[in-house]
Amino acid sequence: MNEGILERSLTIFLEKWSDENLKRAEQFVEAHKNVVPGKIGINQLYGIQRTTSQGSDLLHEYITNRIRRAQKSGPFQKDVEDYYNNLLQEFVHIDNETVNWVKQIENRDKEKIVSDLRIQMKSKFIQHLISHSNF
Amino acid sequence: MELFANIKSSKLKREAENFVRQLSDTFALGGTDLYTDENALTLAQELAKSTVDKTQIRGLVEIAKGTGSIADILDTIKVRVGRDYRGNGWNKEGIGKRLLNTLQSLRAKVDNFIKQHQQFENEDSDVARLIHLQLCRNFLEVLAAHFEYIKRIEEDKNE
Repeated sequence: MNEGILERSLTIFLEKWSDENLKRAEQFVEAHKNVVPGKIGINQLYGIQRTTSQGSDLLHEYITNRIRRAQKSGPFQKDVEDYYNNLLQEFVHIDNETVNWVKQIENRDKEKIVSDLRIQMKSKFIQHLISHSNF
Repeated sequence: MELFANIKSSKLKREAENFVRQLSDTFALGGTDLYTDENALTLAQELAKSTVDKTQIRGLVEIAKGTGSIADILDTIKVRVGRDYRGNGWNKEGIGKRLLNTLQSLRAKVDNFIKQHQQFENEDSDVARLIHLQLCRNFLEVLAAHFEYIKRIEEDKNE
């Protein structure tokens, strides 16, 4: 697949995915209504979104740190811990979807495509979380 | 319409374009049996009473034109509603929420149109989403036109 066509396919995939997963993000927000905004502020979500640009590993580390911090704080922060754990689950789901989609395309640099796409999808998902949490 | 370039059947492409044109006309003119929800004119009039300004409306139209994702448009409106802490802009009389509901409700009309044309089953599964996106863009353009016109009249009165 040539670069131009690949780029276009990635954009369309991401736009379609973003629209199809808006509801999923809204449900996520509704399920954690008592935590955001509150114990977790909207600015923290913006912080997570900024971290996505540094790659999936750092993002994972960032959220794992948040989970550890919440665990240390005891039962009062259990809902915060659950929020971040569930967010990690969403990211695992996104990782799997990316791999499945990239399987369908022919390109030598599949690993890079998977990595870039994961970052963009996670960033979109967090964009949805921010907007709905704000709302 | 560029968004429908992927529709293989030229007949279906024409039908989709006609559907979008017909519905978009009702955004501007109102009052047909196709269009029974919120009216672009009413929403524009109420937005004009709030602190929302031309730049914000133009910005929203630009976002709609520049993105291929309906979620980007809805997210933008949600963030604006959320940031309106004083409730005198996007949040006044729940105007942002009503606009959001109107844009979302257009999907039901698209699904109904698709249902009536079974040949769409052989087409790209993304067609309904793209028609919906085009309708959102057109609705916002009509809303912006009404809004600017109302604001202009107000400005002329105040001069």
